[in-house]
Amino acid sequence: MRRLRDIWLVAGADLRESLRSWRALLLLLVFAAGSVGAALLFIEVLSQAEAVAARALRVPATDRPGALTSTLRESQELLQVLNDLIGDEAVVREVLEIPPIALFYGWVALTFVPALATFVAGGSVAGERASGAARFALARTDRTSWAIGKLAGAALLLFVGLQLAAVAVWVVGALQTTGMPLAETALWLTRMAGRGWIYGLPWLGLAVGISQMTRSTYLAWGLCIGGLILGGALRGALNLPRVEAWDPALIGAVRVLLPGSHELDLWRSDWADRAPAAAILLAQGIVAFTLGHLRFLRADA
Amino acid sequence: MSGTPALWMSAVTKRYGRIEALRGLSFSVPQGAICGMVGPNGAGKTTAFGVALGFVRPDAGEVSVLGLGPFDPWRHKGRVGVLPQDCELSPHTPVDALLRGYARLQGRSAKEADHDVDTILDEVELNDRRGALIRQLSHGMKRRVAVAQALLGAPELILLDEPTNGLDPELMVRMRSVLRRRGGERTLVVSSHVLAELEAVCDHVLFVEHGRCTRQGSLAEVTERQRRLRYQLGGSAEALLASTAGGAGTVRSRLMEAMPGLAVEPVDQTLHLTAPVGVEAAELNARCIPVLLGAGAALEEVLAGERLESAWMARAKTDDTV
Repeated sequence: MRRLRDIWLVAGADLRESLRSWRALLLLLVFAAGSVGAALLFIEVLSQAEAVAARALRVPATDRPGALTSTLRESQELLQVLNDLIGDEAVVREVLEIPPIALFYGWVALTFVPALATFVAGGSVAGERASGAARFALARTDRTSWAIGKLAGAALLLFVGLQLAAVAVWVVGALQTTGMPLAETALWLTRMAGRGWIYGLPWLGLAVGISQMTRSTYLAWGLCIGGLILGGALRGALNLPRVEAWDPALIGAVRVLLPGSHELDLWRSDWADRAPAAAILLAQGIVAFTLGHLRFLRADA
Repeated sequence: MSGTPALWMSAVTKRYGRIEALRGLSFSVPQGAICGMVGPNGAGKTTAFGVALGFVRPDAGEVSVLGLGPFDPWRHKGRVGVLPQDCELSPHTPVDALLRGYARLQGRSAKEADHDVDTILDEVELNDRRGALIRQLSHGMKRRVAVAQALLGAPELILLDEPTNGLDPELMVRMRSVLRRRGGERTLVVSSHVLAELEAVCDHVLFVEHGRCTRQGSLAEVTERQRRLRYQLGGSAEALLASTAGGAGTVRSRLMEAMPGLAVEPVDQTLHLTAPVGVEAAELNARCIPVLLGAGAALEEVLAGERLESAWMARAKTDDTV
């Protein structure tokens, strides 16, 4: 209980400090603005798709998109767009029940959350060790509680950021489209933000893990960005047919270790499909955090 | 003072690559003492503080804090306060929220934390800036907040690394009085380069050099207050010693006659007299002052012991590593 109390105190202080700092606010604003921009782009695509559908149905096109959404959900054009975004037709059919703008936000969140998590958490421990601020806390609580508190603070900040962006997207959708089911869309946007957050957990664990391994903020950022690039490159390489053919069992096993391999499962509508992916992503985050923490425990604070 | 030392280290070593920061550091700070840690830059003072609080992992040696073994944040929770050197406080947090957070983290309830913060902000005279963000404070104010966090609650042992660094003279005086007040109740270990400041506050001294403790003891012992006197004169001490006024022979020879084995050292307008071992300052004064007055010396002040600064400068001569 005492440990939980300390973790909560550290996380709360970290979240408040982040929200007061211009850097974290700027980061969240950039993400929210990016989400809004992407939503506007999507609305434009939706508008064009609706125009195509309207011509096919020989009905008048509308000024604001959304009027033909139910028809559109069954259209081949949208199916193609979603296929391009998600990459799995079975999943696409499952997610077609999701309001289009929430669906699109989900894609934005899952695509950009690794970078967001890295920027939110990459300097969290290293920065405080470099400035010496860590020592004020470490005279009062143990390293494990403090580091978990920093991780929890970053996770809370990521959650806040994703939910704020979801609200911004909802407002844009409500203003720019007609017939958007407000409550249903709000619910789905919240769910998508939550799924994005779960997908961010391994990246948060990796970022805080790396951040515990050095006292240099710049080195921590560099290693985190390197990890992002390496993860993306490895995922891309493993998807090459030539590589997959080399040793399918081994490649399959390596793929399980990469967070990106579990992204698709988060799109599925059934919780039974999503839960294992969420558990694996959480475990990946814990392992990455722990590896960094083991080094931090032996190092000078 | 109870028998268990408040802070004890034995043969502690710490190496940073090729640099040996601590080379078998051993010392003991009695409970209730206000202990000044004196040493040049790079002597190992900050590393010693780091080892005491578990920030720095020693390569070898033993440490005991408040008689409970090495520092453990759970075992020592709320019982040790620390002001680390050159550490930045969270810049975007208001002063009172920051201090409240630290008080809560050292185990205080919300109500106790609020009370602690009110008390300490009064003590360091920052109550009017309690809502200001740390980044909005001047350097001196930040330093006071940093000292305040070390004194929060009721720590039994407080370690302060350069507490008056960057403070203006008035604030230094106020800070000294804060430390003296705390010193009556707690054990304080204060590291500083300003020896006059330590002399004004401390009752115990540690000399640290090249990662070793070269001398330790009460301030009275280290400055030899028991057998050393300083006579502040209205003129040159050298000239007085060479004078033959008031008797046969020079003042120097008459002083030596009055107390055989006496060490005489003139420094500008101050005459330092050190009695032989076993003779106390009162007897030294009783025997020497008639000689000085007889020679017409203009005595302005008589002080017991040498300055801490002088004791520090004379350390090479003694070299009694403990």
